[in-house]
Amino acid sequence: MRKFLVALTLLSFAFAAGAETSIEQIADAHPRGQIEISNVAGEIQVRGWERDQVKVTGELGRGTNRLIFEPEGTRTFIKVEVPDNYGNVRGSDLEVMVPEGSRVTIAAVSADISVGKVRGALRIQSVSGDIEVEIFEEDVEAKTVSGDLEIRGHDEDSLLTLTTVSGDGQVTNIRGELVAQSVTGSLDIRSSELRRARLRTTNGDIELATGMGEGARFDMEAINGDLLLDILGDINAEFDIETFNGSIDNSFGPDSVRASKYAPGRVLRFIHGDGDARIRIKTLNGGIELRGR
Amino acid sequence: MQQLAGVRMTDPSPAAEVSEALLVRQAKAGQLSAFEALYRHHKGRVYALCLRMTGSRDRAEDCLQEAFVQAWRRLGSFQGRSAFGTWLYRIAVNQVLSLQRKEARQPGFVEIVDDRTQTPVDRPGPRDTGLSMDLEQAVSSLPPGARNVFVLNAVHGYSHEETARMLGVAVGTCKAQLHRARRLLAERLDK
Amino acid sequence: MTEQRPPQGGNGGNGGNDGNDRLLEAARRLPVEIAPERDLWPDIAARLEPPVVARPAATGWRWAGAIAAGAALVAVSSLMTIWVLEREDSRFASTTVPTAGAPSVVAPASFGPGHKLGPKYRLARNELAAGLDARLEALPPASRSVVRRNLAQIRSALNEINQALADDPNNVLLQQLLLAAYQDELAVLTEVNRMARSLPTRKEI
Repeated sequence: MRKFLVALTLLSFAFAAGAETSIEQIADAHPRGQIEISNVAGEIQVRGWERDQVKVTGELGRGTNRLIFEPEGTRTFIKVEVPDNYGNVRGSDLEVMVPEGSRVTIAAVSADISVGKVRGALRIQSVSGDIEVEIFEEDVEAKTVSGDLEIRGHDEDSLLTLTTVSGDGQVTNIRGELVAQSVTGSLDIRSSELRRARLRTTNGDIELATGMGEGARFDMEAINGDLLLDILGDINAEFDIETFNGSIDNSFGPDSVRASKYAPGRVLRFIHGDGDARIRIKTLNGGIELRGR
Repeated sequence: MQQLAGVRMTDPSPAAEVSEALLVRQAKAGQLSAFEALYRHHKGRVYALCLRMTGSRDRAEDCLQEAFVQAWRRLGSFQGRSAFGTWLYRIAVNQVLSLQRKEARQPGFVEIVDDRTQTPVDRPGPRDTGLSMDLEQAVSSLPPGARNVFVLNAVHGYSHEETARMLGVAVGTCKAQLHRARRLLAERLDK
Repeated sequence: MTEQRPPQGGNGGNGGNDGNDRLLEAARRLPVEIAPERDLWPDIAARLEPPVVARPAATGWRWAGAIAAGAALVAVSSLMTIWVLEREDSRFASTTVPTAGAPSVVAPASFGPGHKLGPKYRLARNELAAGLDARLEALPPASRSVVRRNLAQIRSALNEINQALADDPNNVLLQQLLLAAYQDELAVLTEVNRMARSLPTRKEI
């Protein structure tokens, strides 16, 4: 019997190594537990559902060792295990159903990641894969080196933190607080209302179209990138806008003035409405555009 | 470093108290490093409160973070009439209460008592390790009302009046909850 | 208030019960402080912004007045900023990348004439810079070159700003942007470090 089992095991390993393997695993899970998912390449798709269970289906790529699926207390670990030298390994596609209240952490190298209908806090990182996420009222943090980010909100108050080196980001329908940082990637953000926004780029462009919450604080900085702030709705803010060598183009308020006789920089400081919010926009060489009605 | 005891942060040296006042002034003036120092000083206490009241590490981390963020934002209104720690711990307790209220509203909420997210059975510290470890676990298994009171009053040493004020209940309710907590704990620990 | 916890009062009727006294004693002996399992400060710091009132006089930094007036520290809701600046009298000090092995994408550190980068910042930066090549090895080749190219862009920006500052050392905007660029660089180094350490590999999850 033992020899038979050994033979069977060897066979299944050989099978896994030589071809794709279908997987299906399911386990009970805490309705608001923690899910940790790790996959090098391929795809990771996570969806929330009403069951208190985690279910993984998909295909393991050729050359992967196995899928690790470990429920442990209120945590569930899901990991595609690959050999140390994973150059020859084909990507694995995972489809993971999780309780919709779960907190999810995902780490990938080149795998694309998509998360939907998960209402707990999310922490997602892919080095070069694209990241597509739905955000509700819990915090979401998404980081990439060169992947693109697409975040779709439901107009619920939350904190969104984005970090990219060269990937571009597109954010829609968020509300609350936003922290975003890019080196050369571009960010395009649409929000109904933000209370806090901190946006920074070295050479990428940032476009932010948003309403301002009461007492809002916005802080946008670029070295060479361009910054556009389009304010929706009422404007009650104190503006502090300055560029060392770029242009300032505003559709309301006074015109910008030269910062000094000798330098090319421009400055625009004024109060609009009751000056409740504070908007600060600074660039070195980038252009600044301020729009409002 | 001395064991912190009592409701208020106490420090043997007057110099340390003076320096906290200075840190608070600096933090109010916007110096993040001063606030970080305050964080480092008080995080152990805040975390202990949050962890025991919520019974879960994840929730405790959330409440702790939220508490410090709130404290920073509201520094402007801190007048120094009470000690900074007292003010901060109140904010932390409010965060926990707000979380508990939010969770109570969710339909079908099921509290699963789990070893990994339990209070720190593997932390170093308590001398009487046998009973303390069981006690931490037993406390986190209490229903929220009794647990809140027991943690604040019996573990952290707040008076009944202070506990009642922090929890927004009458002193009588507070005492009743404490009584209930002690009874439940005695039952659970005897098993 | 005294240093000891107040005795547990208000429950007179039960005083005679041994078990309960032991219970309360045990409760009193539980540690009042528990250390969180990980450092939560970075997440907190990232969410903070300074209060509206800036008090330049209190800090004693040479250019704090000008900056505070512009609510400049808004840019700085992170620990790194405090590290970067030091209260120093004006001595121009420049720190070059320390070891032969350090990659050239990380710029020599200076903060214009008259200011010095704080020691904690220099330490963090040097540590991250020194380990950068090793960390980059953990990333796929395409990503490695993305990181290097982007760090080079930041380095250019740092050079450009430093040069402008040499001509106009009291320019507050330049100082703010220089600070921002240093933070960008540190952020990239930190992120690469974190990512490389937490990459899906066989050895860890």
